[in-house]
Amino acid sequence: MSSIELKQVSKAFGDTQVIHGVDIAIDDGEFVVFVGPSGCGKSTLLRLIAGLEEISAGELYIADALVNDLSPRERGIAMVFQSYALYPHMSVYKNMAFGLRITVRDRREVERRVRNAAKILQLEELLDRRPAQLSGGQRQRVAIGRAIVRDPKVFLFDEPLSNLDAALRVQTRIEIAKLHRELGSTIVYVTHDQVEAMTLADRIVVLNEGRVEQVGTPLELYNSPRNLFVAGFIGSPKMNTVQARVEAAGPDSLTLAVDGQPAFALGCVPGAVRDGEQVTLGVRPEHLRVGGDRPALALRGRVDVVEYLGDVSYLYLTLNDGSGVVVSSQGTSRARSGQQVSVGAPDAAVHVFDARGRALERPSVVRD
Amino acid sequence: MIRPRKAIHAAGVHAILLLYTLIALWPIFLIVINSFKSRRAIFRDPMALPAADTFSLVGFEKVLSRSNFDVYFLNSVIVTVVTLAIVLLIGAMAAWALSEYRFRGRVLLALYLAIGIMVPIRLGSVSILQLIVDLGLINTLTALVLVYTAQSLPLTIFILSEFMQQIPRDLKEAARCDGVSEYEIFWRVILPLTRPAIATVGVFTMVPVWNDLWFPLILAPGEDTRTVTLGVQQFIGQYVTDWNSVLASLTLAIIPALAIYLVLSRQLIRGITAGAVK
Repeated sequence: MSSIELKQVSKAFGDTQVIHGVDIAIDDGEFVVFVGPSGCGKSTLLRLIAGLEEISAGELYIADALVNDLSPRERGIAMVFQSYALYPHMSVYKNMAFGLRITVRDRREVERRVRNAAKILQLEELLDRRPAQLSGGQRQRVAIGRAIVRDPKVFLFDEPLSNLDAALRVQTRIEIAKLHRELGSTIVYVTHDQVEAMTLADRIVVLNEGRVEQVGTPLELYNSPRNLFVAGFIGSPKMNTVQARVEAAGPDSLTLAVDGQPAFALGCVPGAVRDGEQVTLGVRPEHLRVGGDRPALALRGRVDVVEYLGDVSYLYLTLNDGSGVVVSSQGTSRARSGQQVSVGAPDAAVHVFDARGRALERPSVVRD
Repeated sequence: MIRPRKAIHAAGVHAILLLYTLIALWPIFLIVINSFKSRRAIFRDPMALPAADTFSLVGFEKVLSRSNFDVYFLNSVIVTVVTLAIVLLIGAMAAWALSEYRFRGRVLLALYLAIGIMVPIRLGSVSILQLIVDLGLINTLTALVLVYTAQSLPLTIFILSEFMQQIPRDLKEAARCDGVSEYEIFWRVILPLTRPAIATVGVFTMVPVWNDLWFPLILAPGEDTRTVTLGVQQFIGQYVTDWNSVLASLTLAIIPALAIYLVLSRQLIRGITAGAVK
């Protein structure tokens, strides 16, 4: 059992509160990714779990044991740092064996474990080299190897891929996913890159300004973001947002008006908003179609730029009220810049957020 | 291809450095050549190299046979080496504590230690002498080691803590996550990484201790506890100075200092090149 549970965990540096009462429960063997913009407290939260920072208030359990006052080594965690943190004066072998010697006295057992980790990570040829003689990707693998040999209850990754180039990042990402499947251990992974979060995570924790915005599987966050922040953070290109006014709030539908566009109606759970209230509509670029057959939401605008990526084209539109919208269209779009077009989305693809940015419950939105 | 302007620039820099080296080495060179000459030859032409008719080992013979030079020599070595060991060990540990741990009074303690850099220890000679007399340590090498340790620690701590602050935080934290104890982090991670700095500080500590005349004169002037620099003084009289012996003993005194320097400077160069590859 190596579950992790945070109960109302807070952290303050002096008078500055950086983590505000966070509750997260992570199951044994789960791959959880903390994601958020820089300065949101995700790294601090990871360091709290590691025991590198002291928890100001709240309780932290690892494998059902309260570990607030335990040192990193007593918590049974292994951490992989963004800078790799390899000891520059030691060979790859010694880097991996250094921490291990403390817990494992038997020399042959140490060697067996290091050789085994080296085999998994394809580092066998490099064991005698110094970190300075390795490429970025190899150093990253040594850092991961140093964590593996200790057979920890929990792996903690702090932005492990951000120092790698794009191609290597994708490759290492896949290796980490494979590693998780082979080892089956609990992993907490911090990143600011939502693609890494989406591809690796069993569950994602979206953080903003020291608070948890939403916890859920990648698809839950993608399909039903709980608020505007999550909606904007998950998905690439970003979800389009358009300001609208509630013309009439009926029992099961809303009549909405966007400046310079014809009024339209969307399905809704009653009582969520009142007449005249300002709301924000959110539509993902891939759910918008040019033209389309009687869409629930239709927006007219001028095409500014078209980007062709081969498999997909991005249309950058300016609506009549001046706001920008991105449309992602499969294949090669026939739209040309300067052209006036109408783009639309079905009822189920439109998210509605109230004035405070919270998502309204909508019966028709896809939730899978 | 080196462009001509660059070459001139490089030549100029080297000429200046070479000139400086010559000026720095000239007195030492004079001491060494004259120590191999007869007394008459020293005065007739101090700049001349020893020739067949002027060559003489009389100074060395006198120093090695008629005085306790071996005792003085050993005293100097003991004082320097023990001081160096204590200063580097305690200095590195204190520097690590001051740079790594946040504790109450840390800044005050660091300032207190820094004051030692600015105040020359010789200002306290009278009190130091009283203290050493009260401790019953007069005419012992221990007295010298203690005073030199106090004299060298401030700068050592200051320089080393600057270096230790530059060691990435991640390295220490990685070691902590690995379950490595604080002592082992210090010995196995921090010390190896600060080795060039420690070598530098070692040289800076060693030279003034080896060359000091003041404290041996007032704290340990006894025949058994004299250091080389003090021992040499017996050849310098008010009316007659035995230049052969003075120059010979000074020549001999250069050797161990040079040896310690060579050992440390090799570490220094190794540290610099190790850093360059990264």
